[in-house]
Amino acid sequence: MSEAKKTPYYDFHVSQGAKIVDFVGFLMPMQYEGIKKEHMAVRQQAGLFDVAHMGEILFKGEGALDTVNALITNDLNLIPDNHALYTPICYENGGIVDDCIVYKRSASDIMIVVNASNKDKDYKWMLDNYKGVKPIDQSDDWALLALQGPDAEHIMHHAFDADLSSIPGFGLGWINAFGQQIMVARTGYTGEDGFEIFVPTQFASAAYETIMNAGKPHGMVAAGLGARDTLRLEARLWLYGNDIDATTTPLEAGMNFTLKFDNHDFIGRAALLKQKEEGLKRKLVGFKATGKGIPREHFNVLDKMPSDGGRIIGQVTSGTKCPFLNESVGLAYVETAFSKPGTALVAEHDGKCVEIELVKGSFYKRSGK
Amino acid sequence: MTNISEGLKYTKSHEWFDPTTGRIGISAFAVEHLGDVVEVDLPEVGTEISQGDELGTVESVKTASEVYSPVSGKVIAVNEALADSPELVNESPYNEGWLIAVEIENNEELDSLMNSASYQEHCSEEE
Repeated sequence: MSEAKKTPYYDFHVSQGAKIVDFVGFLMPMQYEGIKKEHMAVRQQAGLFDVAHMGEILFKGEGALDTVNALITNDLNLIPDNHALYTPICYENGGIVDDCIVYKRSASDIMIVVNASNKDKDYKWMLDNYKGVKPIDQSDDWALLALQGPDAEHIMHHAFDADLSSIPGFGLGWINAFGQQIMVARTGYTGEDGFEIFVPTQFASAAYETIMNAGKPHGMVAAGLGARDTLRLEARLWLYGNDIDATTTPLEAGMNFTLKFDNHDFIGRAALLKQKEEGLKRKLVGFKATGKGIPREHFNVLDKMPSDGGRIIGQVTSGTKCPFLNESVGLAYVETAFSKPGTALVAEHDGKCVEIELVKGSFYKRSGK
Repeated sequence: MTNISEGLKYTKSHEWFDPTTGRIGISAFAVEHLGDVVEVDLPEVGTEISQGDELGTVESVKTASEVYSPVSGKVIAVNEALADSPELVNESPYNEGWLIAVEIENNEELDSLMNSASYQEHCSEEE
């Protein structure tokens, strides 16, 4: 293993007393004062996340849209310019390479933001499979920040004198700062309103300090990977490596809204159509615990209590007690016959059993924008 | 340097026992490593437990941690406040965040536990 990398924000994390962990080769803040506090701040005011470890891959030039569209399952023709799109990227067999957000500035200028854990793999896969515009790995050029929470728009206004109120969800805009035009997008990974800010690496420190100073009076806090994980789970967002990977397909994961088969050829299309026709053996479902205990990753899912002759029908892929809802929730793959919302099942690990019930839709739904 | 309470007896697995009140809890060192506690599972009053047995579970946002009994005895009280306020374990691990109280059977078991000085040393080795 090579030495762990630091993002340009590393010194800020240390000076704020963060617990630092090695996350896929990056020294990242797990938490500052506590996951719960950071989680609640994002739901009620705002939190600032260092997401500079994520990868940015650029497709620039005539034909960029067609090049990217052939790599993703979603369809860039369905969104206007200056909008973003959530999509999986699949292998020929339908397994998931990664899930990512594609930022379409125009048909000839497209950036894909990918998971840090998959960046090298993704970039190689894109180089091996692209037809048309050659992808460029720009990950070191951008120090991405995510400002998330109901007060995010307000804080951006204070920080950069920028009115972002007209940017819709998944829309892109620009702010003037440090003598530059800096791209911002109304996207995130928390289930909350907020922005991702494409800070050029050389302005990382200035941007971080500016947002911190503007946000602190509003109750904004620095938030770490721990809160990022509990927030995304509370909003029922997938995590690559837990809930989806090369052995799972977007159909099994319930990502049907990202699969656009009409007039759209892409890698994995044939396999996914075939799976759709044949029917699914298993499905990813959301659950909440109805009894005591917290089902976590790797717990078995049983159709009934072991004492009643229960048998294993699935596995938990993510689970924790979510601070805002104050409920234990999670995701699990289960046999299709047991995947209906309302089904009562049992999560089990080392003989410890937790009663669960399958629920439909996001665990947490924000009000307003 | 982690916060260690004087006068308590400690286990290698980071539980504490108070010989005067019979209370059992987990140390500040354990709490720091667990992070925010969100759920606590404890035995009922009247349960007989043996030294080294799992007496319950403390769950944080990140992980679940088993709690092992520092001594053998009968559970005589359970900290009911933790059902609604598990964060007391974080805020006050040696006082309001106690878990259960037991009536110790055999005082000789205390000799197998660490005093605060040796526990301090144990923690710095694990750090």
